[in-house]
Parts: sequence; C-alpha cells; structure tokens
Amino acid sequence: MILCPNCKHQELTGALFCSECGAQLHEYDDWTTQSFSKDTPDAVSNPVISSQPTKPKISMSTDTIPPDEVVGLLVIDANRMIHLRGRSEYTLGRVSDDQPIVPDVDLTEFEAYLQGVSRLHAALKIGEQRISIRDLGSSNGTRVNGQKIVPNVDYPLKHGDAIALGKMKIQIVISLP
Amino acid sequence: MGRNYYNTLKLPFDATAEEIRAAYFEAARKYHPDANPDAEAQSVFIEIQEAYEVLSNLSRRQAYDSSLPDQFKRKKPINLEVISSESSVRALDEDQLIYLLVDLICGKTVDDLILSPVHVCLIIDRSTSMRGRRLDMVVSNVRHLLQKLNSKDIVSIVAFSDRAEIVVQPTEANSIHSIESALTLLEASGGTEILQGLKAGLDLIRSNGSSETLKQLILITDGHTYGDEAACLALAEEARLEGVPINALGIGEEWNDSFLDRLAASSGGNAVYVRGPEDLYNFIEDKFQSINVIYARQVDLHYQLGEGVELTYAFRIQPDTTPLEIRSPLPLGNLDYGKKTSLILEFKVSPMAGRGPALNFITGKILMDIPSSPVSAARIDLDAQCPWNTLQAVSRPPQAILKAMSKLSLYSLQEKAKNDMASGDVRKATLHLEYLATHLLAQGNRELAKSVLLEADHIQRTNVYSKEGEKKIKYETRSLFLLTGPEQAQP
Repeated sequence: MILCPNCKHQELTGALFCSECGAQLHEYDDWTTQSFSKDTPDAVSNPVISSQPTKPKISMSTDTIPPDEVVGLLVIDANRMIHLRGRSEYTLGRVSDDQPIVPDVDLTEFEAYLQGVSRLHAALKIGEQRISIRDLGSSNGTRVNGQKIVPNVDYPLKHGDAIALGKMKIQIVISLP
Repeated sequence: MGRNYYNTLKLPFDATAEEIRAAYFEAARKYHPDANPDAEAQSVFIEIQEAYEVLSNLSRRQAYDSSLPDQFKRKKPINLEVISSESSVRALDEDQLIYLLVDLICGKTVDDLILSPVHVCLIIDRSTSMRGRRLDMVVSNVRHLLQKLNSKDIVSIVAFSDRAEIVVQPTEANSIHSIESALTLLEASGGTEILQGLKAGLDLIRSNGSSETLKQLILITDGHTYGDEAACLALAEEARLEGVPINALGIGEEWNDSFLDRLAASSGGNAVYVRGPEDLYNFIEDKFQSINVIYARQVDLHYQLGEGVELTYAFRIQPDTTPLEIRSPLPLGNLDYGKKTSLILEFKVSPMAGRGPALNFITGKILMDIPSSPVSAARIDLDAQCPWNTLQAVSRPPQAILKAMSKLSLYSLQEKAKNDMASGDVRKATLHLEYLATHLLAQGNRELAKSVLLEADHIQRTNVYSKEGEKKIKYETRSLFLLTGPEQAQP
C-alpha cells in the first residue's frame, strides 16, 4: 500500500496517480524536473532533508546568507528573501487592524491582501530532519509545487519547492546551519 | 481480396492447425445445411469443406501454399509495442498494480494507400425532439460529409423514430443533389427506438458492397431508447463480427451517454457529444479524413491472463478514446495507414501470482481483417512478461505511461464524481470535482476547469448534475488525450 501525500488515501502499490484526488504519487524520488534558472553562484549547499542525488539549481536573491540560516523564503515576485532563524515554527500571513493573533511572518508589504493571502494563512514547521507546511484553513488555499494541499495536514517540503499562498509564490530555500 | 482457402475460413496465412480446426467448426456451424437452409449457404458450405480439406492436411497445405504468389506470404507490416510501468515486478506480499501501454503500429504509410471502397450509412433519429434546429443541423452537415468522401464512395441514409425507413438507398456520394432533396422530405415526429434504426441500417449495409468494402454506421440521436438497450448491444456485437463499427453522435443533453458508449465501444466505434453544429462539423472533419485510410478493421484482442493476474481496467486512447468492457476479445476498432492504435491496461497482480523467472501478465493474439491484402486475416501474437525483481528497487515508470495515466486519472476522477452522485453522496462528488478542477487548472485548461467548478457548485445547490455539465465534463476530459502534442507542454 502507498499513501497519497496529498489526501492520505490508500492506493495499491504500483498506482501512479491517486484515484481519490488525482495527485501523482511520489514513490519515485528523483523524477520531478526542476526548472529554476540560476543567476548567481549557488550559496546554498547540501540540503538538509532532501535526498536528491543532484543539487537542484535555484534562483537566489543577491543577499548573502547569514551563517546560522536554515530556512529562507524567497518571495518570487518581489525577488526578496525572508530569512527565518531561531524558531521551530512560523505562522505566515498578513497583519490587519483589530486582529488578535498576528502572524510571525507578515507578508503585507508584498501586497499580500491583493494576492489573496489570509491573515493566518499557513504554518511552517522546522525540525531537525524535516520541514513541513500546514495550511491553516486559509480562504484561497496553499499549493506546493502547484498541488493544492489539504488544510490542517502537514505537508513535507524540500529545498527548491515552490509554495503558493493564494497567488503569492514563495520558494523554499534550505541550507545547513 | 480474392478467393483463396485462407479467406474462405478467415484465417491468417500462418494459421496453426488448432486455429484451422476452430475456424472450420465455427464456419461449419453457421453454414451447415442443417442449420442454414439457404441455398447460398449450401455453396458456401461446400467451399468451407474444400478449404478445410486442403488446409488441415499438412502436405496438401504445403502444396497449396507453394502455388500461391509471394505477396500472400509477406509478413504484415504491423508492429506491436508493449511498455510496462515497471521494468521488473517486485515480489510483494500484497496486491500491486501494473500498467501496460499497448501500441499497435501500422508500418504502411498513406503513400502505400490502396483505396478500398467505402459505404457509410447514416442512421438519423427523426423523433419529435429532433424537430427544428437539430434536424436542420444534421441535414446541413450531410453535404459536408458527402464532400469529404470520394465520389465513388457509397452513402445510404436511414431515418427512424419508432419505426425505420430508408431515405436514401445506397448511392454514390457525388450525387449530392438527389441525396439532399431526399433529405428535405424528412419530418420529425414520433418516439426514439434506436434498435429499429440500427437494424435497418445494418441490413442495408450488409446487402450492399463486397467483402473489401469498408463499412461504417453513424448513428445520430438526441434521446433515450426505451426497453431495447440489450437488443441494441447484441446488434452492435453482430456488427463488430461483420467488421462494421458504429459511431454514435449524441446531440444535446438528453441522450444516454453510458448506453451509447457501450454500444459504440462494443462494435469497435466511438461515441461523441455534439453540443452544436461545430462539434458535428469537427467530427466529420476528423472521421472522414481517415475513412479511406483504414488499413485494418475489426481489430480484436483475444487474451488469457496469467495466474494471479487480474485485468482491472482497459481504455483505448487511440485512434479515439473509449473505455472498454473487460472481456475477451477487447474490440480495438480500426488501424489506419501510418497510425497507431493504443490502449492502456491496468493489471492487479496478487501475491499468489505464478512464480518462475518472469511474471506472465497476458498472452493472446490480436486478430484483424486487412481488406487490401490477398490473405485478409492477420494475427499478431501478444505475450507480455516482466521479470521478477529480487532487489525490491523501485523503477521509474516510462514517460509515455505517466503521460497517458495523468490524463486517464482525470477521466477517472470525473467517473468517480458521477458514481458518487449515483449513490447520493454529494459531498464526495463535490470533492472529486474540485480535485479535478485543480488538476485542470494546473495543466492550464482554464475553460474546462471553470465548467467543472460550476458543476460542483450546481450539484451542491441542487443535488443533481446539470445534464449539460455532466456530458461536457465527461467528453472533454476524455478528449484531453487527443491534445498530447508539444503544445501541451507543462506551464
């Protein structure tokens, strides 16, 4: 049996697509073609959790990365990197007036409202061996590499994955601490 | 072409002794004077007898074979390619799925084309609901059809409501005026009994033309048929055995799509959804581009499955897309010059599957009829095996299979949603439609994704499918297969 990473439906071994949600079943690690262009020397090396044999090429902002950096969020439209360090969980969203709980990462300056980002949109969990994202029941949903994820279920991420909060596209950049 | 012992018994030139005996018994059962008092049957029976006496005797057969010209003995230019989703099968203690992509490729190109005569019989529904725009649309497209055919090709037209009549007797396609004037007299009234129309059409096409004629029935209807479904399907089976595919065109939203799908598929044809005149136009454009370029017809896959192997799904993806009923033989329809006929098979392999060096999925033969060849019957052996994998390593499925399956998974989602609705589970159906829309959007198919979402919204509000949406989604997800060109590259 294999478990669909998207909807947790059980499929027989050998199934290529989930019969429940149509997601391609990733039993085969190395087949996703990554087509990010590389425009600066690659500062990120040896991804922490990715078991990919080859180092994926990704586009980077020109910022140099602080040495203790583990995870960076590259906001693609703005070409800006948000550095995350020091915590194991971050909520992503936008700050608006009279909001009791504010997100750890405020995306307002990237036109978050127009892009359809909810106030508390998603949570990023950073563990030693694993980084995952969870949609917090946002209005416009969260996608990982184009695939909409089910709310309130952790979805594993690897270096180079593209996530979308509503329409806002963000690339995950992982480096060793 | 021509009479020879092989054609008399409908056997390929390399027929085995077993096949010769089986063919003889089958033919004899049909034409034996005890079973068939017809005078014509008697002379056929004598021919069968004569053919069998020669072919069943090894030395007489050899003598007969050496008297035949060389072109009889040439190998048929058809290749069979089978790709498996796994390069080797893992021995697991649970069920697993394995997919095969079977391509039957015609090595003859259109340049080698030998024109065979064509007879197309249109079976037009003239029940009350066809009155007005629909009937006009059909009639005005008949001219387009006639222009697509060669001037010597034969056309006949049957109209039916609760009974059938012949509107145009078999006529050469160049007499456009007489055909059109006959059509203007067509009036819509009465119910829809598809069986009546099919019967009349099949009788007409049977009695006209030689064995080389490429025959085809085109059923055009907009309604349900009542009570005669089983008889229609039996007739479609008969049509298949005679090499006459039925293509069904459903106009509007009322017709019974699962019935027409089965009807068309079991005769080797295809069912198409017609929303407006342009769909009809496109159908004629596609279909009659190719009617003269049929190389082989009545292509049937006869099979046995290996031990512990179950065939769980079969879907023809080329030349047109149709789910096939799981039974032997699988009707594969026609094979065109220079083209291929492809199908996807899904197998469930149980842990009890037979051991040995390789797993045997399916063995069998693809039989077909090649009207332009001196020995018209042809056989291609199919033997799909896959070695066992002892390392438990996971191989990456070939791109061709992934590509086909990604399309098929969308079609299956749509089927799932339909089944959910049939069992009254609106919530699940909505979910499946939403997943479908997500994938369509990801592939850049905005227009269809939007219709799917609208439909999801519709079923939530009303608890039933809109008839139009249901058909649109079904036939358009199916036609996704036809768009597999470079223009469909991932965004």
